[in-house]
Amino acid sequence: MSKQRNLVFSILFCAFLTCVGFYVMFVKKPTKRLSMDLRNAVTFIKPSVQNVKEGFFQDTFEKAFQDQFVKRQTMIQVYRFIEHQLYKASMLQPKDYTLVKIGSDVYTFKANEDYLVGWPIVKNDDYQQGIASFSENVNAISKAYPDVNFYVYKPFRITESNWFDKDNGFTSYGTYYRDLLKANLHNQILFLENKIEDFEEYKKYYFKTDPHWNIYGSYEGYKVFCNALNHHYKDITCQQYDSEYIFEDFAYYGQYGRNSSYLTSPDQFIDLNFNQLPGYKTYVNGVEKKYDQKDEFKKGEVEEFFWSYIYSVYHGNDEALVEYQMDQQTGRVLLCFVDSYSSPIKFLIASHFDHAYFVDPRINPDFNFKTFMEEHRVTDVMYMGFYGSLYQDKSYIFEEY
Amino acid sequence: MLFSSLTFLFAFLPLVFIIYYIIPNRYLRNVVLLLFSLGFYSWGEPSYIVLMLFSLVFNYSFVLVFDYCKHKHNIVLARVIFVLTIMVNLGLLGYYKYAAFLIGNINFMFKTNLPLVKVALPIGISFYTFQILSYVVDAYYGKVKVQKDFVLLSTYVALFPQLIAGPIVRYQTIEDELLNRKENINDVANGIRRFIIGLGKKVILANQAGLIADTIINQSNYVGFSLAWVGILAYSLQIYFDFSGYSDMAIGLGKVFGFHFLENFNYPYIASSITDFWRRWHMSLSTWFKDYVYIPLGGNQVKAYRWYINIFIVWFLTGMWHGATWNFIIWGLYFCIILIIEKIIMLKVLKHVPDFFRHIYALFFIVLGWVIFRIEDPTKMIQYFKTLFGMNGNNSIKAFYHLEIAHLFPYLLLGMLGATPLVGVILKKMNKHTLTGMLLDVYLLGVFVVCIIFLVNSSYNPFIYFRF
Repeated sequence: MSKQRNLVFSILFCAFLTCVGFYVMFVKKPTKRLSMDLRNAVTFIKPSVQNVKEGFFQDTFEKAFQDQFVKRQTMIQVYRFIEHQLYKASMLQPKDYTLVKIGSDVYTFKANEDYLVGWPIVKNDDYQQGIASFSENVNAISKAYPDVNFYVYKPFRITESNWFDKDNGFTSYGTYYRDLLKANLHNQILFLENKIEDFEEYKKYYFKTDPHWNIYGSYEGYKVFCNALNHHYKDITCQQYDSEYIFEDFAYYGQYGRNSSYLTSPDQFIDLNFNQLPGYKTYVNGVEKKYDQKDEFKKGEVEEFFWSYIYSVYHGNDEALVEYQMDQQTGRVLLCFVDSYSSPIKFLIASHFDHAYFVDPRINPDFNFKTFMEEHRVTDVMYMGFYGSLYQDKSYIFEEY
Repeated sequence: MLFSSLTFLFAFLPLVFIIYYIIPNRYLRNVVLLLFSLGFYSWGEPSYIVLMLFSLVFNYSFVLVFDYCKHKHNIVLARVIFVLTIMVNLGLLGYYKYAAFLIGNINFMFKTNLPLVKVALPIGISFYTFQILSYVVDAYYGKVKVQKDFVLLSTYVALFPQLIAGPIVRYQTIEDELLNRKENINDVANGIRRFIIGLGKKVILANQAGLIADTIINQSNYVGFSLAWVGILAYSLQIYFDFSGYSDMAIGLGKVFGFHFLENFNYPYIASSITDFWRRWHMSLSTWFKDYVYIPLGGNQVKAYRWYINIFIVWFLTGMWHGATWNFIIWGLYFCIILIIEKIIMLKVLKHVPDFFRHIYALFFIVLGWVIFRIEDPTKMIQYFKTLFGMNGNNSIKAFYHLEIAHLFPYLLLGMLGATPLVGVILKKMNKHTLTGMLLDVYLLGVFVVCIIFLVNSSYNPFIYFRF
């Protein structure tokens, strides 16, 4: 009996390994995208002397075996379920701020009520130096174009706040660097920011699982710029929204949520409808095409994968150059250097100009400021970016102007 | 390739198993094992297969040569070749594992600027070098017959179940089994069961304990003494289940192919003294040092001062064997001091102490030893010791919440239970009867499936997009 038991056990085990292995490698249709991981799946490659020698074949094989494994997604969900149950069962529930792992050695904070808020800015000589270089460059450029209005707009990010310092023993430098930038800028340059007083206010205007502002935050952010325009152009009034569009059954997880796998408290994704805007055409990298995909999302015509990236895909991706050509004659032309914070409000900003050019310098390294100014009748120039872009990103500095 | 990888479990293992059992001839089966073992080794280290092959050819031929000299009564030449063989093996180990460490220290001490040797450490070199040395020494002293068949000797050295992380299998242990083993279904089934237990130890217990340990130890400037103890206890469980799990898998795989390796762990955390601990922890290494270093140096059959020197040498080398950094050497010497104190007085004292306190005593020093083992940076190591004794860190309960590890504590409890003989005794009893045995099999297959879930989950690797 014991022998029979051993025989059955051995055969079952070996057959299981063999069948699953054979199925994964030779039968199963390769998975192209891992919708759960939001990345391309690794697939098996053919061996060659070179790739085996370099170990690339072996690495790829191991990764492909994992990515192509049978019922992979179900297994991960089972693991997450077990983990979630253990979280619930653990007697010591987190009460306020909690470290959440979002990369191999990267942590962020989970603040009250499931807000993932990122590490605070600490003292960093690179910031100090970056602010000096950036402000020096902007000052010089603004002097070179005395007839053009210049703005530097830094959308707030919670990592600049000092709200968590006391409880966590930090000394954050967000305010210090913000003050430094403002002080370094020439008087004629308008320094703009969306001030957020405290964490309660923050919750109204920012996502729980993402460092970006939500639609209300971005609208408030737009109004800051609109009011600033008013300093130069008295006829300008800010656009008012007519209604809200709520994606009722969609649970949005921003990049902190996705990267930390902290998938228990999603955001609601909402948009605002503006019916009174002037008509416009958009050109993306010189080609006339729609910049956003709002209609596609609303009609449910978007692949499942893109829903995870809804913030950027819905409003419009980071692109090297996006041009708005408005159906109006204001005599104003805007050149705006942007990062992803501008995505939800590009069309609102553009609505006050004849032409608005949005350049993302991070992915448009060949952009030549001087040539552009020579070729376009620019009246306003804005640098818009969160502190990382303004303090650290060298692409925001233009040698030729 | 790791045993705890899907590639090994679902591609390599079935393939080697099927081909091995299809071939009826014993010798050809060894050829199959050898080829697959070399493939297993070169999977992760394609370039170092050359080193492995050199080592095999060199040791095979030099042992034949000194054996020939001995038969021709040219003892001096035999001895010269024997010493040369040992030196080449130690030289290779020294070059790949210790050269950078040695040069770094010379540069530091003498303010020189010698170029550092930058070579990757060949996987398993410490293990297979010690296996080869045991064969060379035993062959020289006539404890084993010289193996004249290259395939058989190579199969012994490169045998994939124990190639990368031990146990250190002596040639004499499997000398007979290389040609005369008889595989049977009971061994195959028990080997698979042992393999699954080892896999479970590694994937479920060691890895989860490792998450706790890493989180706490990496944030050691943030935690207070209570969390610091949790962290190092978690590390103690991690290293035990990691290593003993691997040994279980190796022993189990050995059985599947008809080999019977000696045990490597015997519930070390129930030891009642440090002396007892080292009889239970990594036994294949302890006995190797005992038989090939300690006893040849005279063991305890020498004057007291010489005996202490012998103990010092063994523990210095034990520390060195674990890694080419100072913390491993300090770790070895730490145990050297405790063992000498135990031999002089402590063991006598412990005889009069209740069992419970003896275990606490042993565990206390074992766990402190793991601090030295785990934390390479001396400043951080001292800081961690301070924290353990309440001289550093903040004991705010917030730190505990922040690290978000409370949900992993059930794994720690399971680990603590699993570190005692209780589970092993129950499993052994279940295996004796048909009905409970079948339940055990179902349970083990369940453990295997859970391991697969854990392994698949480790591939969950969302694209990290930091450009905002």
